[in-house]
Amino acid sequence: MLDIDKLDKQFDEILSSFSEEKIQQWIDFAEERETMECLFNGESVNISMEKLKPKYVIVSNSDALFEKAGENNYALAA
Amino acid sequence: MMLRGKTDNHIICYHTQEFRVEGVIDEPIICISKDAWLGKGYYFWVDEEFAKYWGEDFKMSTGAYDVYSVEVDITDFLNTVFNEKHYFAFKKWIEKASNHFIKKNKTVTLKRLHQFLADNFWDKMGIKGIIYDDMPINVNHKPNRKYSVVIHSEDKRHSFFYYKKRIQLVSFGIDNISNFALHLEEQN
Repeated sequence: MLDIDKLDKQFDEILSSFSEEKIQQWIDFAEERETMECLFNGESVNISMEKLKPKYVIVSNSDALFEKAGENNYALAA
Repeated sequence: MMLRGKTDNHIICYHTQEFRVEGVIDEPIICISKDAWLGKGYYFWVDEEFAKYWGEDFKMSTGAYDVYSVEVDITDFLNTVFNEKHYFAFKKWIEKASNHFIKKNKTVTLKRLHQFLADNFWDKMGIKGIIYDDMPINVNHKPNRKYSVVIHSEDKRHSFFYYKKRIQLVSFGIDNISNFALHLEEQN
């Protein structure tokens, strides 16, 4: 037998644990699952890839080069 | 009154599928339609009459339909049709879940709502299925369907008095189901 009063409290506890972020996480999970189910059921699914953007990160700077060269600055002219 | 099975907690229900030349099915087929009122699950009719109507309206792709009978253990089901406390709890939970999505600026669809409840609530709460009073429909306007009475008013406009409940049952799993057997074969 279901204890509705107890279940009612449990329902509220679970629901209140769903913040906006947690709901979004669940939505993303559910959408991905749905896509996978469609694939497994033989439906055609459009797959789109995000375009890769180059990201530039400086790994050395001129000071570091001078440090490496020491007093032999002519080495940098090569 | 719902037909009882081997105990008071077991009721006899009906499951409609297309007639299959290759033979009968051994177990009910799970419904995964996005339009399913109560989400993914095994759906049954409490009345044989509505199982037949479902066959006539939606399960004729092979030219005929079969109706299977089954016993369902409804011990841990929400009975929103005949149990007042269950009905008001169900109503409140649907509204709360729906409003929670809206408050968080998320779109609510029927499928999303039921998936959310199935994934996060029903199993944790020990709820294994729902008995539900579906809307009365007669999609093809077939005459002589006895679940409604046609009222002919004086101004010649017709209206329908739907006096019978069109009760559906969804079981989220197959564990509560037993004695699945062919009941009516090759109907049309």
